[in-house]
Amino acid sequence: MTHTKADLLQGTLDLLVLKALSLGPLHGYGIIQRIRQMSGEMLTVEQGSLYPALYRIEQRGWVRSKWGTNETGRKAKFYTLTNAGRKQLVVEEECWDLLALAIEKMREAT
Amino acid sequence: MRWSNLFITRLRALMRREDILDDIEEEMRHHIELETETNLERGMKPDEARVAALKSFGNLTQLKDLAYDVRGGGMLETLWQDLRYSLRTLRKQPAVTSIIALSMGLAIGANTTVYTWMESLVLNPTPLVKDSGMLVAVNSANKDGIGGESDPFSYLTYVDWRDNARSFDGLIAHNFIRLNLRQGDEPQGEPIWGEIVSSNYFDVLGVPAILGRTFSDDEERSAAPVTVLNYRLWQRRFGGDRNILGRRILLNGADVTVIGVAPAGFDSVIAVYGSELWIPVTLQPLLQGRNRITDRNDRWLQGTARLKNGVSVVQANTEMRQLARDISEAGSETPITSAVVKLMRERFTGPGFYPLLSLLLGVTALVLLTACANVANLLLARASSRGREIAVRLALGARRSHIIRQLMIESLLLSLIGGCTGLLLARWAKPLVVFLSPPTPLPRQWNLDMNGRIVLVAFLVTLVTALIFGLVPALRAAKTDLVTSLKEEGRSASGSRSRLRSTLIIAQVALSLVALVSAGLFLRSLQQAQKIDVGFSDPDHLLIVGTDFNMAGLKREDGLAAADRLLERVRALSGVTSASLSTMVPLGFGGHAYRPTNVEGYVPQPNEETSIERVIVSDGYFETMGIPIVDGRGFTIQDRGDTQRVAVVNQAFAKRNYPGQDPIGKRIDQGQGWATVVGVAKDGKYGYLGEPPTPVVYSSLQQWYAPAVTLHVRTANKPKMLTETARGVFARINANLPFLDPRTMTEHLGASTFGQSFGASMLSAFGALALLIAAVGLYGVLSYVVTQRTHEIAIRIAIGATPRQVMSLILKQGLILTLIGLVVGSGLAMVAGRLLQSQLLGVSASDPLTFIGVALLLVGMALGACFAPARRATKVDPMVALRYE
Repeated sequence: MTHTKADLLQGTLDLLVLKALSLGPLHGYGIIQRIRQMSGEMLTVEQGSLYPALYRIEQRGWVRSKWGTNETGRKAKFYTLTNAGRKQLVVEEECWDLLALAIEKMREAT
Repeated sequence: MRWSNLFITRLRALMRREDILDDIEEEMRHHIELETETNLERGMKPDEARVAALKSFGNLTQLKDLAYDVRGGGMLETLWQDLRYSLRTLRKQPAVTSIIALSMGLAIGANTTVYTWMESLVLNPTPLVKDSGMLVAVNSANKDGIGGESDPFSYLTYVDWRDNARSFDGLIAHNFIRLNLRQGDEPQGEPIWGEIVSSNYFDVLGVPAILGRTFSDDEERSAAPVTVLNYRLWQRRFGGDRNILGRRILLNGADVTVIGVAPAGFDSVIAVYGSELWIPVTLQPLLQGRNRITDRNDRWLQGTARLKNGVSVVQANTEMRQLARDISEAGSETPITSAVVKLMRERFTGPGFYPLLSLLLGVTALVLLTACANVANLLLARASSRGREIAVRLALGARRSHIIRQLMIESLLLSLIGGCTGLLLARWAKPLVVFLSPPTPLPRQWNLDMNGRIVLVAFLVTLVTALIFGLVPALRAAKTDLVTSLKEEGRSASGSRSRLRSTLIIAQVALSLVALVSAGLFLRSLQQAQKIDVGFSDPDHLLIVGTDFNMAGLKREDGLAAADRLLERVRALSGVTSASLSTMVPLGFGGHAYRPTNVEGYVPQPNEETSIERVIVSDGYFETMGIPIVDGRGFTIQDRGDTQRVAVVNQAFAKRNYPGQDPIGKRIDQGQGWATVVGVAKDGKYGYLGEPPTPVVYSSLQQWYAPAVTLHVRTANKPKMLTETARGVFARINANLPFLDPRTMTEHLGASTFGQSFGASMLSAFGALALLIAAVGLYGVLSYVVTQRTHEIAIRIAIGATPRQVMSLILKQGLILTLIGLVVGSGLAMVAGRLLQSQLLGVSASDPLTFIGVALLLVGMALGACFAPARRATKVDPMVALRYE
């Protein structure tokens, strides 16, 4: 089973988005900011590619969206984590931990 | 996401396309604004800020597309777009589109129509009967097969068979009977058709009564005067009265009680015919004044039986043959030498409609093929002329699979249009089936529902056509070499493609030829049929009217008296040259009777067939009909019940039984004592036009009463003018004396050439259709050829070709194709002719006149079809053509 770079990125992106939203609802730009914050400026995401991923996540029912107003009073679309999304986040984190462990073991082997 | 959810989402998205696009747009715009602001805060100038924001966002257009891919209509939307594109393309070429749709429509319509007819006549003619596949026709059989395909048997024979046959779950006896129906207080009754049946009729057929009950075996044994009504009669005459049970009605003057009503839609066990009510067979003597039940020689009943489970038709046939033989050897008076069991639908084969229908089905299949060939050709032409368009689309990034899909949708759309057209045509043409069966006096009832199965078949054909003829061109088109296509518009038609097109045209011409030759042969056959000597003269001036003294309640003595009075009064009418009565009208339906004949001095071989056709006529018959008496005399008024029993025979009888002798004075016995031959009449045709010379014996009506007779009146002027006057005469003789089916002899004879004229007209129609389709095909292909060769033609004109030379160039191409088609078609037609030969009268299946005529017709068609494209070729402007690069 080969993963292309895109697959890996998408899977990671999903996790990042869910994690970002686990702390509270955000609009798209806000999600980018929070990811930067939470990762200590280490992870940057090409901004536009967030949206296709976000829509995909929404279709799977892990988040839901609603138009509201942001801090400055402008219309913005906010995304909230759903219960299913919360569960998915746990799953994704576990997968990630396993992956990290496996890679760590491999690195130690050489 | 589950399939169904995905589908619904996509569907919803499809309908909200604009909204979704706006939503994405707005969200992304908002994002970019925020980033711009952040950049401003970082200290960039406004322009820089915005540019940087856009840059860090990514390729906006591409991202919008990706986003929409997730949220939009997906595959559904693509299909929808393809559909709209296809519609647009079809609309842009209205000529081609309508030709294709029309070709398919005509072909599918023709096929659906004929299939509907087959369904109602052959495949499922009696829908209310349970398991009609298990029903078989049972008839008696004479060794010589005299009388045609459905020999009747007597009641006593029926009882023997019913009680002893082991192959059947039930054997029914039945036949149609003319009755006068009258209700107590009415002065005059109405003539109706009834079916006289054995008591197990409804049980064996599995048709229960919807009101009251059907017959019981006791009622047959005791000849109880009861009847079951047809639903239609119940509605029409009794207003659907729920209290009908127990009501008494008069049938031929006899009191009969209604005991039940049959379900709606049930008309008879015999396909396509319908009776208005049913009576027990043993009631016959009461209704007809003479007893046919106790005479084993009187054969008048038809038989139908239900096969036992696991018994085949062949087995039943063998058993019945043996049974009939055993019973006849056990000492009955007449040898019924055999019985025959066959499938129901074969009951009326012979010069009838089953083989004609099959022929028709074959021809319409041919027509469908030619239409498909046409469509294929046109689709191929269209596909290759769109090479450029497809090349451009491929260059712009369309996937080949997508292009193929879109082309397929186009073909499907075309086929659907064609299919719908076809169904509409079929619906309109459905009732024309009445022309399919020969005119008979029997009542007919057609069940013509275009059921779901037929519609399904039509659409399946549509679909298959679309797939086959759309897929091939689509695949070819998608393989287009981009560079070549963009540079030159497929200037030289690639070899294999044009060969396929040519083959299709040749096929169309060939098929048209086969259909037209078949039509031509039938037309010639019709011509020949009209030349056959029927034995009597001048049918144009003969009026015939049926009647039945039984229906007026007249028994023998009163009937004879009425007959006398009738002839007297009719002869007295002005314009009447001569009048007489007869039990049989030549070349008609029914009225034939056969009696075992004993010729004095001749001892028949064991098991030799001695039944001869016997016709009962009044005095003056031969004069009225114009049948020459070649020896002796016909019947006169002097021949009465108390004078010497006399008979007249025809030449065939004389030749057979008295070769080389004078038949006058010889004696014959047909079951009622010796009669002396007093005359010999000229031979004629009695059963059907193509029959071999048949012996016939005529007996005198006064000496041998028959209640069901036909009045023949020879008139000086047009016979029809006499109809109303004659009707009055009948009414004055007896209010209930029926006046049945007045017609001229010529009209009556129309039935005997029915097969030929029907074949001729139907096949001509389909032949013309095939011709039209071939012409259209030829036109289409040549138009395309001209377009393809525009460049070449332009060069030719530029270097000096005359218009005539250009025209002949194109015409030659068309004519060569046509000629090849003619040759192939002629070969096929010869083969087809062999199959048709049995249907043709007096004309050979390879009649050269027909072939040459049709060939000329086709060449003419070809020239006509090629003319317009050829002329268009001459109009090519060399400058324009050469410049177009």
